[in-house]
Amino acid sequence: MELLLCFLLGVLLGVLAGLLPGVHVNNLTPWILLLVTSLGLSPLSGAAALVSMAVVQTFTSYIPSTFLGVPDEGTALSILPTHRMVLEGRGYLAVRLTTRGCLSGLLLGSLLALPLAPTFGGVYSLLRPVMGWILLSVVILMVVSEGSPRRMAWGLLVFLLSGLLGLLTLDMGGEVLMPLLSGLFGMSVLLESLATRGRLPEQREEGEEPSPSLSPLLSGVGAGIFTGFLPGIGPAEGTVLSQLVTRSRDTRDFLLSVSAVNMVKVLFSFVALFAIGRPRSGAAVAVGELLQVGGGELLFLLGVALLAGALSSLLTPALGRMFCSFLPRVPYRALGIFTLLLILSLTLLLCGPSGLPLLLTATAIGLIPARVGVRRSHAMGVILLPCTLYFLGLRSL
Amino acid sequence: MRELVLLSAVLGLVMIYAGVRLSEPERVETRNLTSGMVGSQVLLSGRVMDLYEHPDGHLFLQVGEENRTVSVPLFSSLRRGMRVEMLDWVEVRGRVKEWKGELEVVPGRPEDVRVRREPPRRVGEIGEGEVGRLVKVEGEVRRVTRMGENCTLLTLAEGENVLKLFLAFPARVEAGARVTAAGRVQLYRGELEVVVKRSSHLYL
Repeated sequence: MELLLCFLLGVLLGVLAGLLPGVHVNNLTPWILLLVTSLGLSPLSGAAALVSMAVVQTFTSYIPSTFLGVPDEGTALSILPTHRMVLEGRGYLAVRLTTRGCLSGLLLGSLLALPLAPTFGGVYSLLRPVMGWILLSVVILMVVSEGSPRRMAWGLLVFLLSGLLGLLTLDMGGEVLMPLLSGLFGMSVLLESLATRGRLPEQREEGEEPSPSLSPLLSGVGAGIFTGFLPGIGPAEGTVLSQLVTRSRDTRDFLLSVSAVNMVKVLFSFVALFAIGRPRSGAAVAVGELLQVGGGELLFLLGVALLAGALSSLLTPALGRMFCSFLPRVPYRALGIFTLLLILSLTLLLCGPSGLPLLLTATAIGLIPARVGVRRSHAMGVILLPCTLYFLGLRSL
Repeated sequence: MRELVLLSAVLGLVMIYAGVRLSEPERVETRNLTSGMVGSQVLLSGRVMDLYEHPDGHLFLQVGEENRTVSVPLFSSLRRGMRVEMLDWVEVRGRVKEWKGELEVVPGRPEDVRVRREPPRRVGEIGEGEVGRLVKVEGEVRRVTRMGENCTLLTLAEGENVLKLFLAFPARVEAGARVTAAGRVQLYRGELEVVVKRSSHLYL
């Protein structure tokens, strides 16, 4: 009973963290730990609450990122395609695609985690020394894949500008990632849409069944595993890797892949506790404080993740449907201005007044890709450049 | 999609069940603990038969039964204000280790220790049938008698019932204070008294 209640509490907190921009799993984790210690709950129950919260948050975070355009680290790259789908009246399909990507990633990741986990220790120590070079190759491939020299030059410029912004600001402390990602991926997309739109089209709820493409899922799961137990590498880098592997420009494939990467990264942050004895996320740190993760505990954590994933797969489309029926009644300009004000308020709340220049600079850089016709993922240089320099030994973290 | 959801839910439930069964450490009693278990995780439960509080805040428990106890060290970093009294029932999840030839169970986290408080008995409940047993008793101090520099005799009273507490350590207790203490019952010159060995067995 205690286990079930903790699991449901995690689900509830996960929905809140997913739907409310600015509320992150890491903000809620200390409260769960406090609850476990003050009520003397069993460590397994506490771990169930933490894992279910992290999993449900990953699923539901695609709703605000799709309909409002407010990103976090995991959903930043999906903003443009999902927002485009909302403008075409296919927002519900976008949510169903990301839900399918998350669930498929979770299933594949859980099944692969058991046989692969014991080998991760060796792979980790093998890859870590060459990580900087791997990331550098990813950056070069990203730029070269633009095709023409003009586009390559613009892609490189966007990468370097956003990278420089990351280098200058990521050490400032606080939640600087929020204004940076919101500016690069949220505000810039919103400003472009606001200039052209009057009202959102009616969102078609029935949608088409998301295609069961295997290749973007597999590459997403692979990239998620890769980023899940390597420090400092986020889901965005994983998505870029996955894109480079599949080379698909199809929006559906992209959304399946990006959501699978994001989900598997969350899952493997817990698997890393067993495989290399180190946590790879705030929630995993908390689970590590509650449990010594052996084979049995790993099986339990994976089981909780799968059950939470199944529940999220029912909850997320239902919540998405509510957004679909509500949004077309609101004038798009009003919704856009509300979202811009929300991003501004969150920036002020999380970073204080110093967050505003960050947000404006990031927005200015975020406007470049659409103007010159290159991929917005180059703006992930904001995290990728500092990370690459760190792994090359040229910067301390 | 429905098939995936169903598969995920069923697989999740099976893995949770198997995970809970596999992650449960072996439940052992103190008399069954052997040196062959060194290094393994166990779940040990029993009463606190003795405890010693180190000045640095570490608490060393002897958990088990009258004739067989196992040492359980609770280091200060792990205690976080945790209070354990003599005769409390504890359940400790920890790794079996060997320290100076003795087996001990070492918990790694505060959550690994569960304590169920044993309520103290009233003065009138302690009778001659308790001689030789370990008891926890509560009462009001009626008289304090100093026995040299290092020992004190407290007379606890509750209505007509009187019980003596022999404290085998220097203690600052005033008449009128309410105390709880744990110790072994003995008959001394025809009178019942409880011998309290350490200051950590006396709770003011």
